[in-house]
Amino acid sequence: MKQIGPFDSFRLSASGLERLRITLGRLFSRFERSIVSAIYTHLPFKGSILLVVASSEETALPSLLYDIGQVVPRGVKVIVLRITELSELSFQNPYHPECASLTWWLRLESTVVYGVDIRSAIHLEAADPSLLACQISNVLPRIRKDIALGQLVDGKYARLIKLLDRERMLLALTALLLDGSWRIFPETLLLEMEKRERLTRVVENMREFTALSKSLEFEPHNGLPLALRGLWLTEVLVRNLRVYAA
Amino acid sequence: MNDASAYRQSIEDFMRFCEALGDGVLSVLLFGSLAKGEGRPGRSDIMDAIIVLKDDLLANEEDYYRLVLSFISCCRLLKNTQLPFHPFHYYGKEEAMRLYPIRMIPQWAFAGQTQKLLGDDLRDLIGAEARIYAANNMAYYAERVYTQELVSFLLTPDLDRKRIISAQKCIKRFVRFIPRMACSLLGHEVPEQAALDVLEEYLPHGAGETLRDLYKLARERKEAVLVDAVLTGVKHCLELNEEIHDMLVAKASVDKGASD
Repeated sequence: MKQIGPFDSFRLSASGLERLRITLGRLFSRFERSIVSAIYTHLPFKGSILLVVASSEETALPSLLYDIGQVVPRGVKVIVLRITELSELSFQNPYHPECASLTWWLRLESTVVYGVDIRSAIHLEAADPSLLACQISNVLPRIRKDIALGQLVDGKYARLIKLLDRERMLLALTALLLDGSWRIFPETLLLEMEKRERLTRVVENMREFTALSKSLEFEPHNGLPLALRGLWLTEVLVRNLRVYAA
Repeated sequence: MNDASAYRQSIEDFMRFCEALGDGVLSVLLFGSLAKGEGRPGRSDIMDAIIVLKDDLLANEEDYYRLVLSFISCCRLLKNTQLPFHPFHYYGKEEAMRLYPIRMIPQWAFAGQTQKLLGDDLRDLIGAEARIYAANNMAYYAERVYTQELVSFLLTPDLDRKRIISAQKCIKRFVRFIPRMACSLLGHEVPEQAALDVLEEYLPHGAGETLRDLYKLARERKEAVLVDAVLTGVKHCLELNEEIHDMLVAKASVDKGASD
């Protein structure tokens, strides 16, 4: 499957889902322990996720995780929780912004591949601005130390732009989530942002960065000035989003 | 040359570089093993440092370019020493006071973990907004879920060198973050290694030792890490991940019962 941007797009097809249903049915029928439900979804910025919900008495989650991992297609990330722990999925996740909208996808755009449909028990919690503030606090040292200095010191300008692009998109993704938009794809991110007046300056910044990124492909000899401009745009983006998160 | 004198020389060169930047530099702090006097020649990284700058230096485009270009010169100088190198951090003062990355760089906030190299001692001012601390604490639960992805290493038939190193990185991430985040939820704000001691009191017998073994494995030279060791490490991470989680849930339940 074609990958759009720096994100994993592995997704099960309809026949792949059917095979997963059969495989999980066979596996779980051999278990003495009780599996309540299994739900598949595809997060556009993360990839395929299979949530397996076990009964509250289940004690050996690591071995369950291993058993399921052995039969699901590679590329499907497995999460195993007890049913009593479902609410934990709703806690905010500033360190994995690509998964910040996981509960929405699981509840509203997913497929039950085993057991009971427990999706209505997945609580949807509106994103709080602290989510974006925390993400910025986490990503700023990465942008400045690992991406800016780390790549510039070796003259890796194209890589610098690629790494910045990813972090910038994830920041924008969280900004949209604060606005209640969860159904975002890498290719629709900018379009969604354009609909929001509060994000006008961010959109302009994103557009310029995209143009700069394309210029670098045709003007590799201008790598340093383009990389510096890309970094400056990112500093400005972070400042704008800090205001947005305030 | 990667003996102690090479490290001292590099730190002196770095300080000279920072001095040359003029009064835009408010403070320079050293953290990590060199700051604690626990440097291991050939193993310790240069430069675990944070430069705190006047805010205007990061607010003007031309100043920003000049600053970054001078940082690059300094990084090249440090890299040419052949010592293990990674770049340093830089923050505006206001950012250092409000956006401190509590999870990634815990050392900055604790006495005895840093040394002031230059300028004002701003360590008491470094911090983050209360809401960032709160978000960090609750992020523990997502981190527990993320840790489950480690199982993929156990499912790969033959781990090549790249995957072994990747697994070691994940183990490092686990021992650096999960114990500290769990300690925060228990009401203890402590540095990385101290978090292992705190958790030992709460976990079943033997878990503390396993955590310390993982910590050692995470710090081993990547070239020396063996596949069996790393696979055992991954299994232990997955088990401890659930033990720590179950302990926190049980404790929260007891605390809630007591308060009711």
